[in-house]
Amino acid sequence: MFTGISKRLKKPLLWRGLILLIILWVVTRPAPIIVTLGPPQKVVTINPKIGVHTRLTDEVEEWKIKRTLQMVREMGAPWIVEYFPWGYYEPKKGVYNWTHPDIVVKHALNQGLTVIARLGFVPKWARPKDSVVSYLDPEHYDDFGDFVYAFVEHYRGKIRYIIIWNEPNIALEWGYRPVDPEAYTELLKVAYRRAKEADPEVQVLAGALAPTLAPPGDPWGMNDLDFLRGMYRAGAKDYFDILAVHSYGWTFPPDDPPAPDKVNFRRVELLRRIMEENGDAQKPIIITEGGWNDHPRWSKAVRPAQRVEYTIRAYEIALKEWEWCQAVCLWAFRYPWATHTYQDYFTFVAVDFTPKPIYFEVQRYARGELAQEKLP
Amino acid sequence: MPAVSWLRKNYLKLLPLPLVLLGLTVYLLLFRKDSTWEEILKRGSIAVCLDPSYPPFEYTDEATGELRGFDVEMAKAIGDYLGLKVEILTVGFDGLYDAVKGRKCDVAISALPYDPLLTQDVAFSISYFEAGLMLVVKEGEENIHSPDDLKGKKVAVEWGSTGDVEARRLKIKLGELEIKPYPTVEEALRAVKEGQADACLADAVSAYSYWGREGGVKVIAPALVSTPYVAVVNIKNKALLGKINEALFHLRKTGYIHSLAEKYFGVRPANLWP
Repeated sequence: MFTGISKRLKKPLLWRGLILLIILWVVTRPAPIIVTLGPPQKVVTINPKIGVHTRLTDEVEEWKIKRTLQMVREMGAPWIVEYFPWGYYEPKKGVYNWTHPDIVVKHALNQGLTVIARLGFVPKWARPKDSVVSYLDPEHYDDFGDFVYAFVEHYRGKIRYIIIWNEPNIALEWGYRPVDPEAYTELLKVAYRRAKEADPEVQVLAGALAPTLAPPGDPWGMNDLDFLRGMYRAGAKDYFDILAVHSYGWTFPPDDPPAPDKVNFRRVELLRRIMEENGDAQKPIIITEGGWNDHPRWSKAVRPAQRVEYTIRAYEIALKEWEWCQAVCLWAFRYPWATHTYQDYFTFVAVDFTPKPIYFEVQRYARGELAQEKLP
Repeated sequence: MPAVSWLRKNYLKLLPLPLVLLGLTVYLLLFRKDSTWEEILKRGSIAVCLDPSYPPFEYTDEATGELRGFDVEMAKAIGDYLGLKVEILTVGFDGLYDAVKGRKCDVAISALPYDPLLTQDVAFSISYFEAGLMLVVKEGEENIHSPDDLKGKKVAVEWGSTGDVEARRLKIKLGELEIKPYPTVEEALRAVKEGQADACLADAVSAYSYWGREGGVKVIAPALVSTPYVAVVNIKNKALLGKINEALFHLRKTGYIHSLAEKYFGVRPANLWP
């Protein structure tokens, strides 16, 4: 058999054919995209509180990560919130893989952005079979603490802000169990201690509560104001440096006054009042999600022009009126793929990186070009 | 170990078995007949999902509580053509695709745009309405026929809308073009009617609604950015898709869809589908 093959290989035509195939393969294969870090950049803006929530967790290609962060910087936003799922980086207890988050962080820092890292997403090994990724039993709080320690230590000097969990006041984000401010506070205590062990300078953000008007006893969630009061009662005060707040405007303009029975942008002022009542006035707030949606058919959406106007006004309120608010990071800069739902109408940039008008208008605002202009 | 020794001696006899199994799998995957259409015929009705929150396509009549609109009537016309009763189920906009995929209904007819990224999940019918971005000019305007004629012109848009996106793109392409942003699409269209702008870029639904209600403008086809509304069926229901397409083609050909446009917009646009 081998003799046959060697005879065939001796034929010059066959050799030429093989060489031609190799050449064709080399010439026609797609060239790898080389992504360089580029020179270090700085964000130029008249409002240092402008921020956005990016969605790079599931963005595979490095050029897209870089492009996203470049565009954030070019829009004039110095802050980003990004999700760093525990389950992605610690697939086995004590085994860490920082490859993807390292790419995100290096490009973000090179663009001159400040990263606020949202931590959550329970790995399979730390939760019961068939449970959801937001399910964490108290017996695994220490495991989460170990991850927080490892994360903060790995990004020491690079990431100075971390958010402990997301929207723990709704069942969806609490493993579909009844929500519990005491249990969340216990988790916060563990995470806070471990974060400070790894880096005493890191700022721990608590809360990131979902704005909700859930009535008492609602199985799906707890009113965010009640939940924060519950956190203070459980002793959360000494275990966070900044309160993270989600502040959606729905159909209300940003100047709509706050009220306990209304979800609007200024609801954050009610949470602020609770902080003051609990002797926590010296701590700042960062809005880590929020904004308006301009889907043509969603009942909680506004018109595109209103979204532009409200968004810029929201950034302006934080700058001029809310001394205690350190940054406003609105949802969401860009999705890696279309969701085919109203969610797509929260973004500043389309999936293919086409900037929406809101992007250009925020950019003009950040450059100070909108100061004297008004709509016709 | 007699089984092992039998296998050693007779393995050649078993060789065709995986091939048969593979063939059967391929046959079942590719050629298995979908029975949905037969089931629909058997029960004599077709279940249509829609989200009644988008007038004039689908909405609830506040006085009577009845569902009304372009899509509601078209669904009934499809049912009439196919000899079926139409059972309408209301589903939230974000749940329409899942309702079709989960067979909660047979078809969704709810001003849903064709989406090339969803063609592996659901099947789309032919279009029954072009809802894309249209060029609108003042009635009697004879010099603007296409976007290329907008060089040096004033173009009104709803600030932040897809019309705004396209106008910014055209400005880069044409060089000279003044974009006039307005807080609402109605104001942008009024600017054209009142001569404050030479043209407006607006979605077809807004453009036709304004044209029919206020007059004084006209819509120039084709759409600058196409957004064809289509019916959506489960990806496996090929027979049903064929029947829906047949019905829509009939409704297009007989002028029924144009008559619906006239009823709900007050105008009879020339190009209702791409």
